Amino acid sequence: MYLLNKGSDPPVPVEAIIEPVAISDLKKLTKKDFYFVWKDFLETELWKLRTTESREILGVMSLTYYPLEYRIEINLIASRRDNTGSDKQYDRVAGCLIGWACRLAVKEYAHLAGISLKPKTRLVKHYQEKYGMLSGGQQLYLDGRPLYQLIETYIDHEP
Amino acid sequence: MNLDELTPEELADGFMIPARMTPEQKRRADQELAAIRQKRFTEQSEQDILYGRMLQLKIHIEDYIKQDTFDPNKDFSYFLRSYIDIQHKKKVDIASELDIHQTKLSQLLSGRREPSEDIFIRLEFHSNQFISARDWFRLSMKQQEHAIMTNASLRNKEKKHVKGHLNLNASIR
Repeated sequence: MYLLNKGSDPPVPVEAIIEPVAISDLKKLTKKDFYFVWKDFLETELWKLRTTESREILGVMSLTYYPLEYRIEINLIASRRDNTGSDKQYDRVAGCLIGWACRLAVKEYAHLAGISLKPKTRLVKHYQEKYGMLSGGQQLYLDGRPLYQLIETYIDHEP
Repeated sequence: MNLDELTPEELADGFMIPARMTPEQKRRADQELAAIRQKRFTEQSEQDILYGRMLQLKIHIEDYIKQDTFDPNKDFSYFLRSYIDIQHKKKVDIASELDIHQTKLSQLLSGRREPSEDIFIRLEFHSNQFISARDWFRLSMKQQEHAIMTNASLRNKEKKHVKGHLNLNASIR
């Protein structure tokens, strides 16, 4: 799994890792740096993304499992404030985190695996275009081949 | 940068921000999605099902290799059995496809025989390079590593053969 360091010209791939958020990480997940009150999501499964070269967290994700529906819902993803917008250093943060959710779903539910999210209306089109999300009524989802494809693109693919 | 300063494209690049929904709206949205997905389940081809189940096995193997601990229930034979079960094939057919004697396959499946390099490579080609020979090899190594470190009788037996040893300063070890 890799991020693209846009600080270099041309951008260079940088190895990344996704790990469970530890209790000791919570003090780093401030609203100032990560936009939301992450302590409010403690009852969900929390994952963090960083490069293998640094301990600094670049992205966080909250998940909820729905085993009866063979799906995992992405409640929230946020990048660190200094890595957003057109000047951000690392690209692919959200893609890797979504790909990770897809991988977790397959690990748990095999061919029945799905992930879902309920994004703000104005963002729906962009998630569909960027990640191939499908319309599932009031929410977006991925399963089957498009889900496997996202794992290949963001998790398994080596630059 | 504040979220309202970011374009929708930039938000999709780094965030997933949920829409506000009441519990009732959420319940209906989940029901709607479940119905759509249920229909898709029935439309899955045998090939799609095989792919999903093989991917699940591959992920389990990858994660187990990375894990620090050894689980005696998850040896090479456990994963080989899973690989065969997923395909719904008879052992005799798998043995034929791998060009090994059926007895050898049975011994590998029961753990009475250690797999050799040719088996790792044949399994890789058999899976159409979906599960690599390296991963099969690493599974087997994990098992051997555990045996080397925990087989007390072997360690005691081999210790008697060692006639000398390094005299390292204990204070820096």
